[in-house]
Amino acid sequence: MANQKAILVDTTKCTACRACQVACKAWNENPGEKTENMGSYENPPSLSSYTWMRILFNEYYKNDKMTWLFTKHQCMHCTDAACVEVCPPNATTHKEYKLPDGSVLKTVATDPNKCIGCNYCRVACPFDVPGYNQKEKGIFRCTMCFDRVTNGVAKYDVPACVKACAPGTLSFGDREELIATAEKRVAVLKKAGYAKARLYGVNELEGLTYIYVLTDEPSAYGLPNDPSIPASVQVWKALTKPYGLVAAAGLVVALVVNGVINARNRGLEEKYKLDQ
Amino acid sequence: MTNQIQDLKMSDCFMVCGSNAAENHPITFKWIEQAMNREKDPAKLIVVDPRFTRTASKADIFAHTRPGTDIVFFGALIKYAIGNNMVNWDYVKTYTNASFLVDPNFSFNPGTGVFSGFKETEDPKTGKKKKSYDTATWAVQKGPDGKPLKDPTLQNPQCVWQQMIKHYSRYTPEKVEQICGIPKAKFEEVAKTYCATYEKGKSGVLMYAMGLTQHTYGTQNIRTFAMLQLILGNMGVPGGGIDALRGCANVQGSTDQALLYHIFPGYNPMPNSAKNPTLASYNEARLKAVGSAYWSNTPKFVASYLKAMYGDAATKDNEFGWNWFPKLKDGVNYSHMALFEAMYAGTVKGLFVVGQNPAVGGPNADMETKAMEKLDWMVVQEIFDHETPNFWQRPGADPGSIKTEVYLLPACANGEYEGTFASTGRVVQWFYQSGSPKGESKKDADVWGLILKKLRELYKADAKAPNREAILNLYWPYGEEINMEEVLAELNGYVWDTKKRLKNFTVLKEDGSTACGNWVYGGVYPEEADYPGMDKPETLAAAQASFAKTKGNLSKRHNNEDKGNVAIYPAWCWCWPVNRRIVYNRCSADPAGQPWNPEKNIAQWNGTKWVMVDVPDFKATDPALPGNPPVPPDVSAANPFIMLNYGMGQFFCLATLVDGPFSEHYEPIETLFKNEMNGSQNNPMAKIFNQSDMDKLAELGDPNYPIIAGTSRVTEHFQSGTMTRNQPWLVEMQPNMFVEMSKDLAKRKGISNGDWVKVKSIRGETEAVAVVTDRLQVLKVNGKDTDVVNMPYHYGYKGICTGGPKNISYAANVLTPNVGDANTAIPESKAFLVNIEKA
Repeated sequence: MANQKAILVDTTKCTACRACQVACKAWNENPGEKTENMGSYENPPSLSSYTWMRILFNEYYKNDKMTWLFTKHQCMHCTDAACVEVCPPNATTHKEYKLPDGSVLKTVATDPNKCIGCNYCRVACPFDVPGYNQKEKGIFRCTMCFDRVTNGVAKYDVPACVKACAPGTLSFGDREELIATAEKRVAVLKKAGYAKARLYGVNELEGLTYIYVLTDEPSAYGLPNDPSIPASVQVWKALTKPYGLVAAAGLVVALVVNGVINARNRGLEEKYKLDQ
Repeated sequence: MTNQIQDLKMSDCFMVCGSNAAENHPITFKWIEQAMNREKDPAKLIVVDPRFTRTASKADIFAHTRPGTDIVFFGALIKYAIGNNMVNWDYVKTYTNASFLVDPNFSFNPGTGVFSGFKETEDPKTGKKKKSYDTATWAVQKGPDGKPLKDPTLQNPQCVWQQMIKHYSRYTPEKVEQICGIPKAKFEEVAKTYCATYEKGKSGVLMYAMGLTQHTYGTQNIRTFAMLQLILGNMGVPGGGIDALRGCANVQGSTDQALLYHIFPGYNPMPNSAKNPTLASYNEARLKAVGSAYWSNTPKFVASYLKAMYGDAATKDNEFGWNWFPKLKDGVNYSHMALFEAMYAGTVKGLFVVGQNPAVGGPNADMETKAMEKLDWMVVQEIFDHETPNFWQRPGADPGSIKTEVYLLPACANGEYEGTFASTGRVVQWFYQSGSPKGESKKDADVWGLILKKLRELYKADAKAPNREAILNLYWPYGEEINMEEVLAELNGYVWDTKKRLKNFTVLKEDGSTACGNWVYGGVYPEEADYPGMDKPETLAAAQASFAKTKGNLSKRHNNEDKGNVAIYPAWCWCWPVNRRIVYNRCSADPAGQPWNPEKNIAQWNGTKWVMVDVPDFKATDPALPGNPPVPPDVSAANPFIMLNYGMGQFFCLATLVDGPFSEHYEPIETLFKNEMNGSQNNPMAKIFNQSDMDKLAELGDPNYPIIAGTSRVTEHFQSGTMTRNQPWLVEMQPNMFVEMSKDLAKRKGISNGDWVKVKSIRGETEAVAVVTDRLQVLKVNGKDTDVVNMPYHYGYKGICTGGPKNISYAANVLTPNVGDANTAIPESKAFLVNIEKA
């Protein structure tokens, strides 16, 4: 992954001011959503076609000590991306943008012209990134601000969220350099007594485009501890990719998998009130 | 701020108390985190607050405290520092009034809770009791030369140092635990960490906001910590200071231009019609009060200000138009709450509201909106239609019975015009126009220009109009569309005859030959010859390049070079006074002129002259002598606080505060507890507004209101929400009025997280979403479990978001009392009593 661009999220510096969340909406011209306070500062309650990133708030009280953890939630642009694997019409693919400094910006994006609205990507995603929006006819998520990055006045511009970040939580740059910076930061944190300090995103799903510095288990932040491609997707892959399989058997199993996925999808719809 | 925002990165320890910097001043956190993430000696962050905030989430040490008990906590820090010899002795002995001998008749009586000179008199007409202090004994002993008597050994029991030790001897860690609810061990951890900044070269800073000021003893809260800063040697040094975090982008600027009633521009006290009938009497009284302080230049400031006001009509013979200049009536309070009392009583008939939303932002908001009903007229000049101009159709009002005529003038927002912001660190920064005003909207200055034009026509036509000359003689060189840079030039000051802009305030004259709208802005907009850097061949080219861009307006500079690597950034915009970034900076060096810490070197005596990174706040050279020779360090060491009488940092405050030369703990007006520190329950000088039938206060221990409440802000909304509640991206993040409470309280009340609840005080009620969290805890105060809750004050009844689904006012200020600080009359919104039940 030499020369690949990434965003470092050093959660230890995040004050949850959410300037990034607003900057994301402003740059991408996404509307505000109608929300309610459900007993937390966290809002909107989930990612959606209109909310491509949000800050997660998680609080813990142990041994008279309060901890309030903040982190940034959006599409991770995984190298081994379940949504890419599962997409029947190959609408969701990896994209690459060459930057003037010789580096590459890699993203995962969905071509609305090819998307059939099956929502398999939604179900397969270990990070709960939303699926098809019936009204807008497409799938909308973090774009890594490729339109800023590739159109910068200088070498490249940074994504809107990074630009807005005052405390220095977010930085945009070469992935390897960011990882080196993050490793140093983790060493400092460990020395300062954060025994569980760690990096996240370096090796997960063969590498995420967002690298996190955490001081606790990822799950404490609302991130999956060990993100993986769901078993159903593995089956799907196994069945659809090798063409030598008996077609009928494949069809039967595919229908079963489809049924499972649809059932889960409905559950999610219930839970998150998927975009209409 | 005594320092500036960027300077936070130079600090070794942050005491964030009464502020929620991460949420309400997010940019400050950029610099705080730089200090905390420094490789060498990272800084510590201490947060002391009634609730665990986003700021606290980043703290090394956090302590829950009971609202309104800061003087107990700070007083105990003073006792701890002295008791543990954590004192910068060179600093204390040379730069403060510790050695001064206090008047032998000065005393404080813990039994009665008052200082010497207290008296209570009864008005024979009304029977109302009036409390006051005769401050004659709040003074120092003087020798025949008029100078204070001193004991440099600090042993004399009458010296300020010994008096202070005696006064704060009652402020023990046990009292902190009993009164504030901070466990003794936690207090000691905080004290040990913060007081470690007494070491030479270390610095600690207090970051505070409304959490300290909005109390009936708010001024004394801050003063107590200022005393600790003097003990530790933290004033005037990089990374130190008392940093007031201002609540809006330009609240520093509006204060500079005298938004408040007690001053006119440049922090000059407003004259009093009875005491200052003539300019000579004003100047005389002022010179007597300020003593040796730099304020002795007041006659120059005032004459130049009046010249800017009245132009050619201001002459020596008419005392530059002194008669026309507005004056306060003796004994009348003109602060926010007093004005609303007067409206309620029907004595004030008209109200002009600009950039404010008292229906949401004012204390006892139901009373304030009721007061608006009694007005003949109200003008609101705003960028959004908000609660105040709609008070007549507020929930529960009967529009048909309200006769107030309301006018709404559309204002445009900053960015639709240009001008300056003065940041909390006194840095004056030019902002540019990036869009054009919408519809008929105008910038505030243009509206006032039009009003003045109309007023002049009316006054001209009416020969008998009162104070007619004041309006007709007003010097107004601006057209209908005011060029804000011309206004800045007036603030800067100029020679009256030639209109040449002045170099700075040191060249102001009291003979009417100079005009200056605000002496502290003197130097923001110099002529080319006086432009910084033009006087030296080595800096000439850079100065010329800068001048070509700014044309002299220093607030337009954007050079972020940090000369000396001490976060001074001298060419980033301009800072008042005279681009001085850290005030009292003589104290950044020891008496011999050597910096306490070579890595925090902003002023150094090299043996023959001062080598400065910042602009000296002391006499570094003597322009009165031929050749402007350097002045050796011992001279300035004897006068390091040039704005104070006798030039010394004041442990003992010399009669400038109305409620005591030392601070003393009193309980909030609404409280659950008896004052355990002394015999006076409340600050005897607190401003209590009780003329109207809507001015209600809960009695001590009223069982109907058993919960302590405070108001606060969140990152996502701004002040009364006028701007942010009309911004969908912000509304989606904080859509509802909420009240934060402990899990224990919620359980006792049968409230679940996310439930709607009713919050009631003796004055009013509103509804809010319960945010049930461990971030608030039940405190143990005086052995009793004590509940504290907190609410944002941003919501109301207008805009795309009001705070909730019902047609009610979601303003937290319907709950708050209209009682105020003894010195400033800021309302006590940070400690009052409520009850909560499930809606």
